[in-house]
Amino acid sequence: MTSTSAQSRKTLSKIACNRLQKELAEWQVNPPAGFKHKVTDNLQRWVIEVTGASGTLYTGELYQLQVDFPEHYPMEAPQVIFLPPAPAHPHIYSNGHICLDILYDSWSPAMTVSSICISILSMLSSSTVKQRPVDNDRYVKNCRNGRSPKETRWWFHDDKV
Amino acid sequence: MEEFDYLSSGEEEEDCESLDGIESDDQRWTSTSLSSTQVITEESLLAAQVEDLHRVMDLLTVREQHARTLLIYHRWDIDRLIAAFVEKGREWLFSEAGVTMVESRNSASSWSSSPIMCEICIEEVPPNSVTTMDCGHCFCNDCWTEHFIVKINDGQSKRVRCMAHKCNAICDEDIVRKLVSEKNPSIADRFKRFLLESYIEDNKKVKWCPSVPHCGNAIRVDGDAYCEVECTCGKQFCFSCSLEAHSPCSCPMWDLWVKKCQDESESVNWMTANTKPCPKCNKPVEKNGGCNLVSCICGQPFCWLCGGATGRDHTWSSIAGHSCGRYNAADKAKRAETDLYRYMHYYNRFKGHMDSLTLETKLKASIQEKVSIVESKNFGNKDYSWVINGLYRLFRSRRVLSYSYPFAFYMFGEDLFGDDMTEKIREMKKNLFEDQQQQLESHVEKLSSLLEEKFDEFTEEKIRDLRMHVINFSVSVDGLCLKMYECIENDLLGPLQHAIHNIAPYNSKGIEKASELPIFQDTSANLKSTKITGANNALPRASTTNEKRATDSSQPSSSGLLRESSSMDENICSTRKRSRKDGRGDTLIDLNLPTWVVDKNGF
Repeated sequence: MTSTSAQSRKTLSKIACNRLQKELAEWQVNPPAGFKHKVTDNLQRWVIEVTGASGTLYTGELYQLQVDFPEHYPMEAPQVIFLPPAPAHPHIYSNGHICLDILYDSWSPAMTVSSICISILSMLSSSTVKQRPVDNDRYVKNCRNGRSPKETRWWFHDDKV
Repeated sequence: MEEFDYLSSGEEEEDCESLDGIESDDQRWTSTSLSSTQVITEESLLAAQVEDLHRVMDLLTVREQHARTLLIYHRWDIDRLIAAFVEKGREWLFSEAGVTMVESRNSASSWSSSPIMCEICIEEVPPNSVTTMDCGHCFCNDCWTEHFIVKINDGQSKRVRCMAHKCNAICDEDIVRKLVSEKNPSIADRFKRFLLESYIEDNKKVKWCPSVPHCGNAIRVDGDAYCEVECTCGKQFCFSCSLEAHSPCSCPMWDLWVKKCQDESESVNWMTANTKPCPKCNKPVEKNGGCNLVSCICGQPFCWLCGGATGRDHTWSSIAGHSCGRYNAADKAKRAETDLYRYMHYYNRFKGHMDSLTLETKLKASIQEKVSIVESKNFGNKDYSWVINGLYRLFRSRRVLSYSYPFAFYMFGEDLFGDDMTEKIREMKKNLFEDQQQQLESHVEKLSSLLEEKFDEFTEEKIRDLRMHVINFSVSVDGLCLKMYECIENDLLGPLQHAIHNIAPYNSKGIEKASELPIFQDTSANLKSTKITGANNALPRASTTNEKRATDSSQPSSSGLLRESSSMDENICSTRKRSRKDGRGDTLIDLNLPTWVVDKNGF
């Protein structure tokens, strides 16, 4: 699931590089609970393992998040998707796209990979049913040629789940 | 439907014998006072919004940038802004628009000398290189700058938000400009322009002049948006839809008509051969295979043979409850043909009057020639303004007449008002309208023929005679135009349910020329600003009262900021609309010409 979006292909700006190095360093000292960064030498693409929190529908299940950083990170939001198989969740499409406002409209440069991870885990944990969004098939069909979720006009679901 | 204030109503002299009464006709073509439409040029763009800004600044005691943020959020609709303020209060108004003011906060840099941690780049930075926004959030200047540039490049100049999570505050425009211009003056310039042009782009009272190449002007209309205006560049257009002036057609009618005229020529033949109109919505439907039951996209099933509406139940060979013979099928095909003939009838008359107008514009030169010949003859009366006035009246009424045909095409056709009138009423109204139209038509033709007389060869007495006639017909044509509009307003469009068909009112004088907006003397000093040198490139201010504003912005300089920035246009904002600087001269004749005549003749 590679994004074709041009912006994420551009190399990181100096600000983005510095910031990501800082974030990575901080992560190594103090990773968010339930997440594991898979070490690569690619600063622009992180792959993170998530373990479903205990006491939730996803207890013990393992999923992988892929985080791609754009040239102007953190002024621009990173692209975050689940690598297949994506967890069954009312806000997660089968192609791994996540309907979560902070990844798009509500992104703020003050947020970090860590804070995204925590939001995603909390989104998973609060789910009461393992099912796909109602418009899953239509949406996934529309994304067939590798469209980035950042190019989607998101209509955010209720924030209860 | 609104009552129109016909500007001419006071001047409708019936006693044309009195020549004095006619002389006042002069005024009609020259008077531009009391204009409710104004031209906003590059130079007056700031002055144009100063009034609105000041009203908000005074009402809410806020700084100019906050007033601007509020106005942009409310799309420059002061009434709406004030209503929101009265209903929901100041706090709501501010937070909704992203205006945040943390009171009596000390700027972080003033009390701390130790390094500050910027939460964006996660670096420690010296206190003199951070900036605290009005909302109280403090980040380092490099991060702010990067953030601003990303937002400006992303086209979000008008609402650049604070970087803090969930902070809705709009960033201080002075800070944005200052920081960005240190790194990239051209982007800072673009930001400034976006803010200024918000007054045009986001304001329903202001529209860009649609001239091509663009004259760089915008037009502001204070009253009814359904009006026709003329920019100082000479371009006349319908303010409501920005297309050419088309009254008494409504905008939707004109839109349909233009499309129809474009499509019709090529596709009429194909359509008559291959499609049938849906009996419900009248869209042409093509049958591309299958049985004779055809379904329109509107859902209406109909019989392909006869074109009549049917039910859905059918087999390959028959439609339940429906039968039609060959004879009827031919009948319906004729109907499609009639539709085409109907269109051609209206189109030919529309086009005919336009062509006459084009020819008549050529009259002006020959008339002027004749006038100078007659003047040299030293007759008693030396005033020949009646010829020119008659000509203007001819242009004006010719246009009305021409556009009255597409109007009639839709008014009495099935496309728009098929369900609004019974056949009988439609027929009655059509006759009523056509009577008026014909009367106007015959008077216009008469006026036209009078103006073509070779009066340079006339005797003094014959000229007196001609003068009387021209004046009489000028007045009667004006009156007939007015009557036709009244008929349209009161009898035709007025009774309709949906009021989407608004038309620009008839204006005896012709299309209103937008007046130049004065650039106020008292503000022009403050309008000037320093060159972009970093610290002092504040937006030009128009304030004269607020001390705080005056001190940080009234740096004298040699040139106006707006003018300076125009040089960047071509490079940075190739899509921006400032290009043609040469306005056309003050030739009077363009007042009543259709735009293509104007363009062709280069008036």
